[in-house]
Amino acid sequence: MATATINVNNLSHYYQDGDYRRYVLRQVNCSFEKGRFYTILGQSGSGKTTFMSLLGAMDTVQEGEIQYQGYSHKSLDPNSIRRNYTGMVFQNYNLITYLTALENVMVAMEVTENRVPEDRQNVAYNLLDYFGLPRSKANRLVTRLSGGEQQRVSIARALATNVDVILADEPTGNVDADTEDEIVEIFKALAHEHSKCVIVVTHSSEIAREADVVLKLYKGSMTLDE
Amino acid sequence: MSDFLNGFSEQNYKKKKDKILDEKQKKREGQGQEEEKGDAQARARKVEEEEENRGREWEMEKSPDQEHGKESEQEEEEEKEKEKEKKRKKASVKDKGSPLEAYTEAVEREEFSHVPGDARDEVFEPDPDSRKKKLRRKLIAIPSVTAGVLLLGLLLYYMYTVEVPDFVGEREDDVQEWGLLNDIYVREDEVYELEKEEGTVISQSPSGGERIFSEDEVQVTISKGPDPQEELELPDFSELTPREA
Ligand SMILES: Nc1ncnc2c1ncn2[C@@H]1O[C@H](COP(=O)(O)OP(=O)(O)OP(=O)(O)O)[C@@H](O)[C@H]1O
Ligand SMILES: [Mg+2]
Repeated sequence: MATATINVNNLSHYYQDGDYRRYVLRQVNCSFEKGRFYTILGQSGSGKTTFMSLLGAMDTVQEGEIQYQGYSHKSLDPNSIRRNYTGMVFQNYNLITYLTALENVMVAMEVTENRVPEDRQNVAYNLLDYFGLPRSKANRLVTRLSGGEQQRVSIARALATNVDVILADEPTGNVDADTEDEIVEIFKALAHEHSKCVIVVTHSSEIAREADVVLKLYKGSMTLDE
Repeated sequence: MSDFLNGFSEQNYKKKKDKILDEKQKKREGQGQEEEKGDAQARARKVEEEEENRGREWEMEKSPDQEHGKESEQEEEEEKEKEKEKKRKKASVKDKGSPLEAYTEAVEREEFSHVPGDARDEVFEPDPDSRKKKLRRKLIAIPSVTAGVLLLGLLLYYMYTVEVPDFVGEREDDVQEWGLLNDIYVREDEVYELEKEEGTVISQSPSGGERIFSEDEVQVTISKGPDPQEELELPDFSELTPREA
C-alpha cells in the first residue's frame, strides 16, 4: 500500500503574541517513508523543534493534519502516538537521571502497547550493546555516562518501543565531531538496515550530506532538496 | 510497529553480533593484504573503518602490552592518517556544490540578514479571533463582575445579620439568652394578660423569620399574668338559688 509512514497535510502552527499570531509553520506538506534517512535544516528559530514536537505529539496540532500510517492525529490519542508510533531523541538526552541505562530502556518497553519480546531485560542489554554500551555501562546510572554514551542510551530508548519512526532534534548538538560521526552512522543504519523512518533536525551540513532526503525550513515553509 | 526488537533477543543477537564481528574480521584481513602491497587508499579506508567502530572497540580495556612504544608509534601514524582523511572529507564537502551547500553558505554569509533580527523566519498575522475574543471577554466580564459583587454583598449580609426566631409563647429567660448570644438588645415591655402564662412572650417586633443587624434591637411584650386591679365580674349570688350557687 502507498500509505506513507507519516503524512503531513497543510500543517500550520502559530504562537499567540498579544493580538497577533506568530506563524512558525505555514501550510507545510511533506511525507516520510520507512527505510529513509531525512534531515531537516533551518536557521535557529525557524520552527524545527516546533515541527518535531508536532510530529511526536508533544504539542497539539492547531491547523492541518498529521497522519500516522494512514491514521489521522485526530483519531489517535497523543499518548498513543508517543508510545506506539514515534520515538524521540533530544539534544540533551532527557533520560531519567536516577535510573540506569538499562532501566531507562526498559521503562520505554513498559509503556508501549506495541509487541515487545518476552525477555525484555536481555533485549534491552543487547540493544544497548548494539549501540556500543556493554553490560558494565548498561548497569550504570546514566549521569555517570559520557554525553555520547547518554545519547546512545536515548537512541536505544527511542527504539525500545518498537516504533517505526525515530525523531531526533539536534541529537549531536552536545557531542564532539567523532561521536557525531558515530551517531550519524547509527541513524543511517537504522534507516537502511532496519528500515526505520529516521528524521533528524540538525545545523550540520555534514549530517545533511549523509541523508537520503534534505528538507529545509525557511519562513514557515518546508522545501525539499533531494 | 516492526519486528525490530526481535533481532535483539538473546538468540538472534548472538548471531547478529557474530556476523558483525565476522565481517569486521574479513574486512581487516582483506585490508591487511592490500596494505602489504602498499595501497595507500586501502589504508585510508581502514582508518575510516576503525573510526567508525571506535565506539565499540573503546569499550575493551587496553591490555598493558598494547601501550608500549612500538604500538604507540603506529598509533601516532594512524592519528595522522585520520587527520588527513578528515581533511579530505571536508574538502569533498566543499567541492560538492549542491543546492544544500549553496543554501548553507548563504546562511553563513547571512544573505538573509536584511530581514530584521529575530523576525527573520517569522510571519505575523493578526489574530482573526482577537476582536471576537475581546468582545467575548467583555461580555463575560460584565455579568461576572456584577454577579461577584452581588455574591459578596449577600455573603456579608448573611455574615453580619441574624434571623429573629418566633418568640411568641417562649419564656422571657430564653429570649434574653438568645439576645446575649447574638449580641442583640432585647427590650421588654410588660403587660397584664389574663389569658397568657406569666413570663411568656405575647408579641414581638420584628416578627419571627426576619433578619436584623447586630446593633438592632428586638422588642418583646411579656405577659405579667392577671391584673390584680381588674375587677372580675362575679355572678350575683342573691339571684341564685342555693343549689345553683
Ligand atoms: N512555547 C512557545 N511560545 C511562544 N513562542 C515559541 C514557543 N516555542 C517556540 N517559540 C518560538 O517559535 C519560533 C520557533 O521555535 P523553534 O524552537 O521551533 O525553533 P528551532 O528551529 O528549533 O530553533 P533552534 O535551531 O534554535 O533550536 C521561535 O521564534 C521561538 O521563539
Ligand atoms: Mg530547536
